[in-house]
Amino acid sequence: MTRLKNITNVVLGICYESLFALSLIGCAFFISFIVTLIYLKP
Amino acid sequence: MISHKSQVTSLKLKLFLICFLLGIWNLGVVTVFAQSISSADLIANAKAHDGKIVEYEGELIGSVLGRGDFVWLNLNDGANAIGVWAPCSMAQDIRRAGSYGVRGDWLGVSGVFHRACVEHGGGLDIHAYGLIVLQEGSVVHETITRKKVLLLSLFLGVLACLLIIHILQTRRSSR
Amino acid sequence: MILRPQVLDLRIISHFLGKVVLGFGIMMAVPIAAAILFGETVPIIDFAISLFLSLSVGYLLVLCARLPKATQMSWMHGMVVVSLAWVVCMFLGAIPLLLSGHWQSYLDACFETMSGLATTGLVLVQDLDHLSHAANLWRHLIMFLGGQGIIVVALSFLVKGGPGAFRLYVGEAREEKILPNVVETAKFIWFVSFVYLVLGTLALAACGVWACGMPVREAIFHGACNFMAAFDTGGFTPQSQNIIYYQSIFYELATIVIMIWGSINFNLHYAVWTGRRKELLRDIEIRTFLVTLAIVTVLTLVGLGKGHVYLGPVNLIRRGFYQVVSGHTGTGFQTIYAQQFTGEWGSLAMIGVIMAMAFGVSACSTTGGIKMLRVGLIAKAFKEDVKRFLTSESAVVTTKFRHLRDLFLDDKLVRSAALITIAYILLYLGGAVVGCFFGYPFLQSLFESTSAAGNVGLSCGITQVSMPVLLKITYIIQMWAGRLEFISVFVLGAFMISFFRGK
Repeated sequence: MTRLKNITNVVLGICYESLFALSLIGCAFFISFIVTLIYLKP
Repeated sequence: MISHKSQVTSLKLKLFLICFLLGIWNLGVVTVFAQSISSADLIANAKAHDGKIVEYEGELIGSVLGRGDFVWLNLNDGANAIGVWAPCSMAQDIRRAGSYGVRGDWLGVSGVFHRACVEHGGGLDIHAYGLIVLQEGSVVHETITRKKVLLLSLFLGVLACLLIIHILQTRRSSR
Repeated sequence: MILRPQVLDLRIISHFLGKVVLGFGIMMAVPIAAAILFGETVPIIDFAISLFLSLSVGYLLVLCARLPKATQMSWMHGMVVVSLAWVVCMFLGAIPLLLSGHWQSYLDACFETMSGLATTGLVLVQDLDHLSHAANLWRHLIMFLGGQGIIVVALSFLVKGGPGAFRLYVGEAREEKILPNVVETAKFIWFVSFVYLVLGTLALAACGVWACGMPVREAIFHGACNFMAAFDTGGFTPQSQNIIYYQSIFYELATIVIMIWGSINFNLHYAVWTGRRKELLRDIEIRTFLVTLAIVTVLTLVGLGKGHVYLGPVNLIRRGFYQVVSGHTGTGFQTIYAQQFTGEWGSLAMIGVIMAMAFGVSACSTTGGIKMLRVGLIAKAFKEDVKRFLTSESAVVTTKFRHLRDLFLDDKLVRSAALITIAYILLYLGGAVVGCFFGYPFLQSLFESTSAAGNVGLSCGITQVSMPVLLKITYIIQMWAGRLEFISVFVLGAFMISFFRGK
């Protein structure tokens, strides 16, 4: 039971860290949209 | 009535004309890629070349990266490698890509150069209109030199001696 | 009073240095296995020569020491062993590279090896696209070893622990114990690295096959190499074009995720992997990282936007933000050519990237640079000082911060953070001055110097085979000192001086 709990924590931990990284990319996309709107209007 | 002699002369003239035209065409191909631009020039003067048709040549490295109906070909001219976006049909004559022990096909490409290609995420690339295999690649055989064999034997010998000393030392200290 | 080193000191150093060198040498068996797998005969000989030589050097050091079993290692011994180990491993690790024929000189091979060990990523290799799989794997493996820490390698397998073990561990710029026993800490670091190695290699291999169109075997090889370079925030790639070669947004996104995995403190990995997931966003390092990443991203993207360098958000992300995150995590992967930094980017965008490189991310991770913990502590110290002026004189002002547990900001912590920050800044500027001495413009010299000393690896074109020899040596020293965070390097210097000036 403890082993299963440990494995679950590791898997969830990896997912959490990956989600964190993806959210940083998402924020960067947001910033780049703003920059595009301000400086790169056609 | 046309004489046999004039028929032969006419045939010779036609043959000469065909050979002359073929020669011009080949010269043209060679001339086109003799004027090909270097990767260093393309990168350093990317703004000046942006959107223009360029001729570039280089060795195909890595592998042909298939993307549906198109392929990416990374061509290295000795200084840098530049990505070429080409239809699959143009890449059918390609036989070898460069890697360890293999010289890849030397390809010549003409196409539109992009400093920051909007289609491909802002990357520097060439969209090919024409592609030709200028020189086929080959296998490169590396040989083991005598110097390396001597070095190998020397260090193996040294290591063996040190191991023997270590074992003797360990036995002496355990007594 | 400085004491002159005794024979016993030299024997202790020799013994532990020998153990580290043995561990490093054994690792050369991995590229030999790769050479056999790929059918590369000559690299087998190259690596066999280097393996036997390294093991011979290691054994010689241990045998010469003939150290009695109960001998303790002091802090001085630990620091000297660490700083010397990095230099010796550089010399030995360069041999198979030199034998491959792809480096112009032994100095260039040493540069590449130190760049790998220090997880920098600046390259002097020639004709990388025709390098053997074995030599390419070795370049990436030394990044993996250096990122984890050569001492961590030794601690895991060869040094049996004890109080000396912790002194070695600290000497390699890792102060934080994840588990009570430092050997267990080292083993945990390996556990995290191997789990991510499997996941990361599979993810990159999948991207390689499906998104890039690579053959399966090459996709796996590239996946493993690029994982080691990304997770250990090193920046070597198997091809000369760096990440441009893959021509794929999915590959780039996957490497960004892996770079961020690698820049998280191993303590935080432990916390998150044992159920305390909220620690990730409460930690001072991550919070500071979010602030600095936002600042440098805005700076760089505004610089690129104003200059109309890249049109559209996707292009800005793939060519702008990618370089920012690569620089901030200290990786050094590039999706643009080196010359494009100076030729197209403009000063504002370059300054954004220089700042990103200077900062680094977490302590006890694989990144270099000043580190977010120090930046965060200094920022909090400034805030506390301002607060003191705004409150009454009799008020007691304290500042708390979260770094796995709640801690109070004290002068000793701030002093330590400030000293190392100043040392880094001086190192960045020092390297820039040397670059200017050789005729390079200041901004480019600062860029390259920060990249070397912060163990980043982004290049604006200065690092080349034709670079002056003295500049190569300067960058080697910067990479070494930056990776070890100065103290063990200074202790080695003092140790050598004490031979002459000690009593």
